[in-house]
Amino acid sequence: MRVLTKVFKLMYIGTYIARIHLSSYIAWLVNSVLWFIFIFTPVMMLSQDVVKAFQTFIPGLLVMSCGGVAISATVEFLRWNVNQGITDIFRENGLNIFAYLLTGVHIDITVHGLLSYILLALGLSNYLNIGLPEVLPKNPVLFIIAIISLIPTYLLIGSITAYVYTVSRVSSAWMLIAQMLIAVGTVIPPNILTSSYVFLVNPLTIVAELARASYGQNVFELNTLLQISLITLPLYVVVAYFISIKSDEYISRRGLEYRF
Amino acid sequence: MVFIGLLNIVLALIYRELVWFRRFLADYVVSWVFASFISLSIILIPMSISDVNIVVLRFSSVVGMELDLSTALLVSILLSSIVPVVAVCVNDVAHVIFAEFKFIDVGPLILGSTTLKYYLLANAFVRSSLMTLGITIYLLPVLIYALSFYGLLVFLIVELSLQISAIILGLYITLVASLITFYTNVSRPWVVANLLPPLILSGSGIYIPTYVVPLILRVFAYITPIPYVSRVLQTVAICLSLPEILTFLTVAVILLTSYLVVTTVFSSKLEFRVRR
Repeated sequence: MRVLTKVFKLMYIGTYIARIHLSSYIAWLVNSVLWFIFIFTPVMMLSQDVVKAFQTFIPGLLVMSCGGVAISATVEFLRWNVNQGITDIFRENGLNIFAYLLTGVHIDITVHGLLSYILLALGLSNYLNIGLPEVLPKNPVLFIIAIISLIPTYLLIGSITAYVYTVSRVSSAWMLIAQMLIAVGTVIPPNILTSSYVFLVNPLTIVAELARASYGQNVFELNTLLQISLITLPLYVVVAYFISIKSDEYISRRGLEYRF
Repeated sequence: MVFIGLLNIVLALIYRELVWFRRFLADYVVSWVFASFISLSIILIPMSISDVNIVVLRFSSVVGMELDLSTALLVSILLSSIVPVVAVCVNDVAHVIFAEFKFIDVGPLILGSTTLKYYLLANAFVRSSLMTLGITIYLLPVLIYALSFYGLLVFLIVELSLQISAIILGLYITLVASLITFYTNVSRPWVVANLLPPLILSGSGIYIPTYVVPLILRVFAYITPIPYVSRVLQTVAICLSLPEILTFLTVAVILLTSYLVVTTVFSSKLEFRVRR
């Protein structure tokens, strides 16, 4: 109960921080939808079957987008906020990167993930004359499961990023490259290799497959996918928690430098 | 304090840009990776669910020429170079104006050293031009590898076209950023600067036929040279299409003259307002 109360308190703080940055969120939303329209309209138009392309790539994009935001949020905590002393304030109160990720996870998944997905789906369906029945998931329950599954995956991606960023000397430029690499398994479906399970290296692949399954475009068999999800998703939270502790211990011993 | 002229301002900005190039080299590398990633993704991602020949055939119909897979990839790589040019020129030219006159407040120092008109014009020309060179330099080895000696000629044409486009974009964004900085009280001005690149790129129909693009987006694109430069880049890897190059040059001259005149007149009037 105490843990749940703490989680809700963190989410409450995150909601208020998001309210302060409301105009930035709206701008980011419009911005990302326009960028995605620019990149994905040609991807759809060059595909043999536009509807299949939409149902395969766009759910993957939703998941990739949330993974990318998890990386950004982590870099924000360990880079930008260091400069302003906010990271220190958080850490002095016993809150590590895991806590910081928890403050924004619901906003990031709702605004950066779901809302931008809805706007993008409407925009692309308008561009490409795709009917509403094709844009909506055939199995809404699976789609909701995918959205909920984004929470542990977001925490894991953020924690791994934090660990890599603190223990190594990688610059934040590498994080931008990582944001592109997570397209493999999410936007790029796992059917391009003979052994699709190699793509499970990317934790986001499972969630992307669940989202694709809601449209009937999954590569992994649905039962296998649900079984893997049941094991891995709780495991993601536990692993993310311990990785965050390790990362925080490292910061306590060595400090955290502000670097490009 | 010594009052310095346009040439010295240009030299100072060149120096700053060279220092920044060294400092932000990693970001330049990311921009090369990003552009290459987009170019390959747009052609290769559809192939994961479609027949290769159909994807190439559809891309050929967009370009208006018959292509094979390797040529299609090369055209895509050339087209994708527009993306970081627009994103970086628009963002960085604007951010310098926002930062120096709104946040860091070095505006009085600049106004004590030179005129606002000189500074804004030099910033628009120098930043756009040098950053475009830094962002697109990766095309040189790619084009020489793909097309050998003809690749060098293609690079020169592409670079020249992008340089002209970047300078026009620099002047265009200088107007927008100056209006926001000196005439409004927007607390997060970068929001507007961040919004313009995807608006311009989505409206230009770089990888898609322009008739598909909604009119409202086309309005944003056609006040810039991007739709025309993309047409040059679509064809230049295959043949030197003189009509496309001449159309681009004509539009570029009109846009450059218009933006230069408007920016010069506007910044002269702005100078009086800012100093007062």
